[in-house]
Amino acid sequence: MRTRMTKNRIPAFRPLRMIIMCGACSVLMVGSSLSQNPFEEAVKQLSSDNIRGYLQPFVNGFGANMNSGLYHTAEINDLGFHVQFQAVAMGVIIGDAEKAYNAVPPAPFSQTPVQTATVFGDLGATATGPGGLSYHFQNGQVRTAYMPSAIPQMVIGDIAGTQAVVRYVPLPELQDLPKITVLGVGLRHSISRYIPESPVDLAVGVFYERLTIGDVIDAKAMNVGAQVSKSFSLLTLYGGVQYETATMSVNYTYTGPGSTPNTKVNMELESENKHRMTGGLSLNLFILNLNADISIGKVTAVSAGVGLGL
Amino acid sequence: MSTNKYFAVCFVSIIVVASFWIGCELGVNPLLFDGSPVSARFAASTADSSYADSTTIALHDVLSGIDKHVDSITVFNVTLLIDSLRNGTLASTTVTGSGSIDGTTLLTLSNVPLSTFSSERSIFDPSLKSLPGGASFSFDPAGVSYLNGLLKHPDSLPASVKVKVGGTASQSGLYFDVTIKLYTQIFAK
Repeated sequence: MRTRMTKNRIPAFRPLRMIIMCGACSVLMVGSSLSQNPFEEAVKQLSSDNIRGYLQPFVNGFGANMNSGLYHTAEINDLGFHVQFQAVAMGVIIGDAEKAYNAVPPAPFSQTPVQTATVFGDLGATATGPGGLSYHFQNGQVRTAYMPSAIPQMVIGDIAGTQAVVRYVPLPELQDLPKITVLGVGLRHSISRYIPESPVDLAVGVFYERLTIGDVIDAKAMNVGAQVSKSFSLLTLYGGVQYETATMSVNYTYTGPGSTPNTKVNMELESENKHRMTGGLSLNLFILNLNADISIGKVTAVSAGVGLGL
Repeated sequence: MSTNKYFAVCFVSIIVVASFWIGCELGVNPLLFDGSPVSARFAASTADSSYADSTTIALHDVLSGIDKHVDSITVFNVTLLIDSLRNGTLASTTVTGSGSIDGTTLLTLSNVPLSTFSSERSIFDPSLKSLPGGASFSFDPAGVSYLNGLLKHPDSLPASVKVKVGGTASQSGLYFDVTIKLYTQIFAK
């Protein structure tokens, strides 16, 4: 019957585009062959009514990553030169809740939901039906403890207690990897400037980010939040609460098997991660800044960053 | 920002996230695909009250569009559609007969109105077990098993199978189309 395992372990060091794409293409860079642009080819051959539940943890993780790592302090000066280039890495913890979901097999099978594997799970469940029929749900494709991502970003300020945060990565198509474009912009504004006696620094922020991969994936994320921090010499404790949204549109021409050839497919997936609480530490070493934090929401996300600048 | 600084930041990104790659495996299980539905279509056109016909289904067509190495194929649904009634054929006309694959009976009907399958309907639909008015419909597990046996080993998949339908009706003048459709799942290696 079916073969069991085909392990494709990705080398630890690849270009930046692979790191950014990790979370995006982990469900799609599968199969025994890596043909030209396998990311888009794999998408075009997948068709399932239960694809939303299968991919939902991936979308949740992807959205959480996009909305992570945007700050490491609430301190924003009224006026001052502040330019910092940051490399931020994020990761969403993939627990048992992200590995299974309830799916309904198609008729004529019983419409009772069956727990089966998500993209991060193991083998898909099998539903048995009349006449010895069986229906197999899609197998999980990614085995990982984390769903990682990384992005460079720049912080520019401070004017009237306001900073801008920018993420921009334009990567052209290369061999078997599609074109990737990331653009994110946001503003953070100091609230503690209005409350001089505040023992802590307070700020609010808004951020919008868009990521496109080839002609297939278009992901958007947005968040608004409030941040607080307190510095102790070189160490800064920071935290925040945040409302966020993330959507992923998957568009392709279905060229796989089916009754209608060349069917255009548009799938809109929305992240279930709407709120988060963040707590972290930042180490300020003059022009070098190191930080790490953890965010708790629908999913648990961690981020770490290295910043260079003033 | 200069190119060197940009890639310096990128390299730091790589260093920082390198640890995230530990234990990350992709493509750990075979992919499943929906096979292309294949069907046999018959056009009944007779002034008699009985009808019989046969045709072939190209089983290799289920693999159409699949460019992966196939481990196995399974059937998960077979549907029946009786439509395009014309020339005075009534939807209330009842039929008694059977359908077979390579001589192995797949389904049997007794006094089943044509309207029962006016829209595509699975032959495994549980509600077919309790048709009103003395009608009965059933699938033959041996036929289903035969079908699955043919598809189980893609390397020895027959090019085609012979599908035969036949029966008698409650009225003379039978003008309608019959479609038997096969739905499969394909397991990639």
